[in-house]
Amino acid sequence: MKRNKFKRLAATIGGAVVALGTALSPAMAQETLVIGTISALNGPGSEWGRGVDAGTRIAVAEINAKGGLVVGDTTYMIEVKSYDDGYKPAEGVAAATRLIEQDGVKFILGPLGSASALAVKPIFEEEGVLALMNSYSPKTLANNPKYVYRVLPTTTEYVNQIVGWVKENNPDLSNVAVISPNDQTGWDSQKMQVQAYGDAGFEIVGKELFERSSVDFQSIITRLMATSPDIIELDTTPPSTAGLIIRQARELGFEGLFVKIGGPGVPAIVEAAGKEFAEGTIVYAAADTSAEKYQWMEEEYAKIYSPPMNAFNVFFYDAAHLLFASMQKAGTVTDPDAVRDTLVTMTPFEGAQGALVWGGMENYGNNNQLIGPTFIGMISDGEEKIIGRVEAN
Amino acid sequence: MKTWKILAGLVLAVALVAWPFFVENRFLIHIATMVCMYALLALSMNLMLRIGQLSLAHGAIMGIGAYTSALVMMSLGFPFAVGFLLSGVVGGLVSLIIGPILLRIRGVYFVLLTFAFGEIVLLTFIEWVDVFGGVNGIFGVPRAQIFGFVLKDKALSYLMALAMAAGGFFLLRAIYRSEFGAIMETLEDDEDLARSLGVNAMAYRLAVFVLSGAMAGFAGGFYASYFTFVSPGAFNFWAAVNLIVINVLGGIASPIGVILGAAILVPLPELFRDAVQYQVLFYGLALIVFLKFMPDGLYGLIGKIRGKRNDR
Repeated sequence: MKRNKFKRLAATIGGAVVALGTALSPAMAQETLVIGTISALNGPGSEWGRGVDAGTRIAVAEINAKGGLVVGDTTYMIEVKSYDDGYKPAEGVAAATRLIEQDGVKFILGPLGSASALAVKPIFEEEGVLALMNSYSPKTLANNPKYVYRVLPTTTEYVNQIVGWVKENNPDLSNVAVISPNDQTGWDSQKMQVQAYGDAGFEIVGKELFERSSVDFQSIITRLMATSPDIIELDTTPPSTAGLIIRQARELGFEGLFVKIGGPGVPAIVEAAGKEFAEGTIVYAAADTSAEKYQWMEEEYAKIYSPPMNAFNVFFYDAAHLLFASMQKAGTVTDPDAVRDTLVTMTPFEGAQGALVWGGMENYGNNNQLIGPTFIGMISDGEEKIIGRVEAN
Repeated sequence: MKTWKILAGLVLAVALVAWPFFVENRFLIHIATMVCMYALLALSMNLMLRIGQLSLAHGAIMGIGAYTSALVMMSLGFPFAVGFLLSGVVGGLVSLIIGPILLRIRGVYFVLLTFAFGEIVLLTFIEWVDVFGGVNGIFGVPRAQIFGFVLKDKALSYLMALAMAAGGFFLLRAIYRSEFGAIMETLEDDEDLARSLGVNAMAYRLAVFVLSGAMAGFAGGFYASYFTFVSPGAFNFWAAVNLIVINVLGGIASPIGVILGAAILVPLPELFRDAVQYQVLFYGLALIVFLKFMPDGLYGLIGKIRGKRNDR
């Protein structure tokens, strides 16, 4: 009997202590924070688009697994609303309008792709919704947007760094020939490459444009070889076409160096050129695929989408973490202006691949471009091997 | 009965005009705006289908209207009213120029020719970068303005799209009920008969093509100012295919069918948007189901139901 009384007393005291403790501890309410992603999740280009969504989701899962995002006195479990825009501007507008109006989202990652990005940009600016997006068009950052930030580098951001690295590591090479696709992408990127190689002290001995449907490059290569280039820069040539050019040039006796700065895609290059001919080609690498963090991300990606993971995933993973860190520092998840004002002060920010900084003033008139380390790869035994790294500054 | 119909029509008209001011959901208003814009486009395609000619150039003609409006406002500095007016005029004018060449051919060859024309237009938008901005298109197209009011408010844009769709609907209804409409039908059913009765078949076909092109051009002019951005990708041949699907789903036989088709098909992907990866799959399956069980479209289904009731 006595023992029972003691038990009751102990339970009462214990209960009172717990209740008192709860009452005295700071109130930690738990709520849900909804953010949105817009990208191509089906059809052509979805291998890139899924990187936007999966990168964001991996970052969110990481935070939720740790108990949520603590902002002030509130802990938020983060929920991601993902909508497919199929790279189409009208779909992008529908997705953005739905996220803002139906889902009440104030922070969006994406879209990816110029047409969709440019179509939704006015909506984000008018509605005051903070967007971390990607688009290769320089118009994305035109007119000093207040709510639109670009989180992926374009050729503008890394061409000078890679060309500088090539010059530093190959001081004996001087003549460069550039081959690019005969369309707006190729015209713009070729201009950039010519400028960068010229600035680095190389002499441009040849510039060629080809139709994207071409498979026979012998006449172009013969013409270029007559100018004795030390380097053939493959620019924004699609990876499989770049492989064909490498193969045909090697078969015609070109012994110089191939460089491909415009866009990643080593497996397709190797497949088209063959291991032997592709050997030694210098490429832009969006990420260090051998890094432990990258491989962990690939495993996490496989839980969301079918592999292989695209390197774009890394950029949006970092962007999501940067956004959440900005919310925490700003102390709000409802005021995009306050989060934006904090976001721009958050760099250098330690991303998955290294330090990230805001930049772009020289090219766009504002610092709305996120810049990370640039990786230089070399094709070795059919694989991409990271041989150089240039930090963002 | 007639009074009842007029009353119902009036109530419907008032409801269509007034709802965005009570339902303050801009996403719904956006979808309704798209329904109206696509309804106008689908009506323009309906004109062609009624003379038995399936055009794959309508996406491109819409694009011509969109780029015309954008360039007239941005490069020449004219106000929206002029840009919008010219979008329809140029759409019609282009149809007037290419019509005599394309309309001489019928059947699958006409389809292929219109496809080729659409591709030429698209390539021109892409390759002539200085004028059309290339693949990136033209960004920052001014918003629509009516009597000095900028249509930033989605409800006002919706009203403009609604007026366009209603205008297109009543125009087609009037045409189909007129002698012109009867001749159009004869052109599809038996052109030789029409000719034997002294009908200048080519002139009628051309008139229909020009009107259809002008309507598509107006829709393009609206598109440019609504999205404030034009790029070639939006005007490829899939745009024309969507218009054909709307017509088939709704029913080619009547403009009401076309409106119903647009009202169902345009919001349909939104129903499946939450399905993310499977959105396109569900959309495709829904289309198959619709076409399987409603071969004459919604309008045909309504007709069948009415017929059954009358039989009882």
